[in-house]
Amino acid sequence: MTRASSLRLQILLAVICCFMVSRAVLAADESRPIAIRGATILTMTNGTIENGTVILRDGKIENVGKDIAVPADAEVIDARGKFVTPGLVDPHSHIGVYSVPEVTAHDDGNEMTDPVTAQVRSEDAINTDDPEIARGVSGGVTTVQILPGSGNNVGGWATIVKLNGAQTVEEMKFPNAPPSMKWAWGENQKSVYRAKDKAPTTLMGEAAIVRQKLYDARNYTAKWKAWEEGDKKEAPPERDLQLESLAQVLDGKVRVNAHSYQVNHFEALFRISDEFGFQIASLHHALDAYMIAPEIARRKIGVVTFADLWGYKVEAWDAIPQNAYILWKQGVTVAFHTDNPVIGQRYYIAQAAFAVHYGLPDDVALQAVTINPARILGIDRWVGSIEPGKHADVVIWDGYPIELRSRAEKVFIDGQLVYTLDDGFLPWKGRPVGQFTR
Amino acid sequence: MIRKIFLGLFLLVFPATLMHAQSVVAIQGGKVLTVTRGVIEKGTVLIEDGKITAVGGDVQVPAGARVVDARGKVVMPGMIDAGTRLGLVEIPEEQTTVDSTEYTEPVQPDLRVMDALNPRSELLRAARAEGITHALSTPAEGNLIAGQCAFIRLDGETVEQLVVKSPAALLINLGEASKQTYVKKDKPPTTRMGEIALVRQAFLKARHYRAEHEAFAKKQAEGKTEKGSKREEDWKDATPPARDLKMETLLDALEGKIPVVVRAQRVSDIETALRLAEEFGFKLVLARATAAWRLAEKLGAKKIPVIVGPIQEEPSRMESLDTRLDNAAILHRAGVSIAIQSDSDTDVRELPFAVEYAIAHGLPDDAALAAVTINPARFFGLDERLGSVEVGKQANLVILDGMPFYVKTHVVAAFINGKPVDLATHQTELYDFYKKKYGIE
Repeated sequence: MTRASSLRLQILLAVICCFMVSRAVLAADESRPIAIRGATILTMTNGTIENGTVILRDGKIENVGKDIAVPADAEVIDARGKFVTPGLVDPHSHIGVYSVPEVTAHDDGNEMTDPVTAQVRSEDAINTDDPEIARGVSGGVTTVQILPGSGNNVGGWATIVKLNGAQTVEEMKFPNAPPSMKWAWGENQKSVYRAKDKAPTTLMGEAAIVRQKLYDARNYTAKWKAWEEGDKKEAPPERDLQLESLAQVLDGKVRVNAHSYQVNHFEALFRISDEFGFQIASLHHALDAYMIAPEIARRKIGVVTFADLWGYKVEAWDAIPQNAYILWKQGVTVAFHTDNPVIGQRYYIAQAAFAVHYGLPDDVALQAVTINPARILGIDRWVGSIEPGKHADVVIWDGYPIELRSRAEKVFIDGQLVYTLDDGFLPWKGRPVGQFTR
Repeated sequence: MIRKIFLGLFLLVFPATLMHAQSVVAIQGGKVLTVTRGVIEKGTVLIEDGKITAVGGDVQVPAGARVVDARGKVVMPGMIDAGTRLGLVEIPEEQTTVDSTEYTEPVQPDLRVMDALNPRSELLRAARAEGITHALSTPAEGNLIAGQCAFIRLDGETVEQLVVKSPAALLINLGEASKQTYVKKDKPPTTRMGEIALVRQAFLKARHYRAEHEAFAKKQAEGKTEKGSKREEDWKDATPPARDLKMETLLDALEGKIPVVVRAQRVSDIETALRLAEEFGFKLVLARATAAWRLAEKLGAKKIPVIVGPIQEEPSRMESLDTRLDNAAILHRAGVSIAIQSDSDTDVRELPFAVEYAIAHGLPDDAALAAVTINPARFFGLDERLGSVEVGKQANLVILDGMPFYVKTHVVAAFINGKPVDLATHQTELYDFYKKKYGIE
């Protein structure tokens, strides 16, 4: 063995040792539980625990309560005087498909070439470097549903992600989240296609186009069924991604998130879902939903709305800040959203605060940014409250979160500390591009 | 019977006193945030003929005055939003209702916001219901020299009643939006270089215009002194140089009669604004000023007033990447006098929440209060009439059920020029209807 090769071997061994040691340290850290002690815990599903403790282990919430044992090896965080909530869940965002700054190159949210684009997927466009990710976490947001825009009546597939700072969408994706699709009804689609002198230019046109497409999807399913049940001597029918996507909606496998504002939009959507026998999961924006709150409750449709976004267009003219309040009173599951970039991702909690200003009880307002959106997205088994077994997505606030003076001080996602008030968004710490969390 | 006689006698003897007393309003027992003279814990404010006539802890309330019980409440001046499009825009996405965007040529100092204001706008009601009683109404961004701003009160049946001061300022928009408008039209300016060349040329032209008019006036005066001479004949019927509305407004700015609000976001645009102000000597008020924190010391040293906001600005443009929530706090610490604007139309009513964010990120409470009261009044030369609870000022007051800007605080009453204003809005009216319909408390 030459000296040089011996040296190389030594270096290699040293590197391997270092690697193993660091892995061991990392592994130890990962399995070491975290105990957040002394905080006021707003659990969302089981009331408020004063001076409580939350134990995080292996990415999950292991325990929560007033007088629970703290594991001997736990890293203890003194949170006396602070407040703990679950990470916020935003059910309607365009983070990563409309990245900031909003330059033309970042315009990936709306495939405005056809009013029905059921085949497109937001996951194929998400920019994992969107500064709004870091900004969102600085506001306590840990899970978001990323939807295509509202230029089309059927906009495409949504993606539910954790804002964990991962470099790839694959690592950001919320595991086992149910399939979810964006629909949209009202002014936007009319104005998009009027500018192109194409249908739809009226609400009548919107309904006619979507109904025809759903019949096409039904025929498509029948054609495949006939082939499957036949002798299969013929070539199989050609796959059509758009009709296949719509066929899944008709099959009841997809949560339909329907952007809509006015009562006539809601009714058109109800008529179509009745005609084809599928359920609409949620009405989004839904500024006039309060006008028919009992009907929405009867249909068990969730509502995702703004606390107060009044007047910017005609279909928003009758928006009232008590929309959520009236819907809640009538038994509708209500959530808020940012519709980022309409509202900055970090200001999601302010939606709850604004609603409180206009009369929504504090606990309902907080549920509307945590457990309710989780329910509407079908991910409430995993996130949206501080309960044993759920993902360890936890925010420690330096004050009562409903007060706009309060700030998120520490944020955990799947048990990992991803944000501190002093150091910003940790997964991106030291990156040459700013973190934008100031 | 005796009572009737007594009443008749009273009315006969004291009509003047009675009339007088009835026109006096006493807001009694509230915590008064005077802004300029500290806080009076249990204070009384007297309003007479639209003006504040007394403020203090032991004010004698005249017999017969209408007493407003403000015990347990907070009394403060009505808030001033230093940058809005109120009265110019009704539904932002419906062009027929938008009068803030005259994007037909880049140099339009002759445009007056006053000529487009709509006193019937719902947006005025929505804003004042949250305690905003006054605002600067400005043209939108997207035009370079965009026109003359109006300072308005949010109460009035007519434009005349709405306008407090017009012109209150000339508006210049630097940066991305102004060039974007003309990139689409394939006309200058399409770059920042083009923008500034146009602005400088316009001010130089205004100087020349002044010189021409002064020269004509001088010659005419000289001609008149030479009685019976041929020169008098020459000048008697001479046509003066044509009046040019654009130039006249620019001259008002050059002569310091009105301030120039320059909207600028990134560092270079703010520097440009300073350079222009130095070259032409106009009174500069910076607005939006996203990256002003990077130049805080300089702005403090030069005593440039700054209108910050929207506070919750996103890094949504290349020129807004420097946005940060403590911009206002950093400027304040550097000695800069700041005001806060919503820079909005339909969301003006959220101004108090924006102020709360500035406080959360380091702006002291008293500085925050000044930023939406006395400071904007000063910027537009109205601080002798508005912006604080002081004797002699107009009675623009709001009564709150808690400390201002706090999310659980509500406006319980408001006065503009001493007149109680209706706090109902399109939204409260809808809410009342549906609340009743569904039997909701």
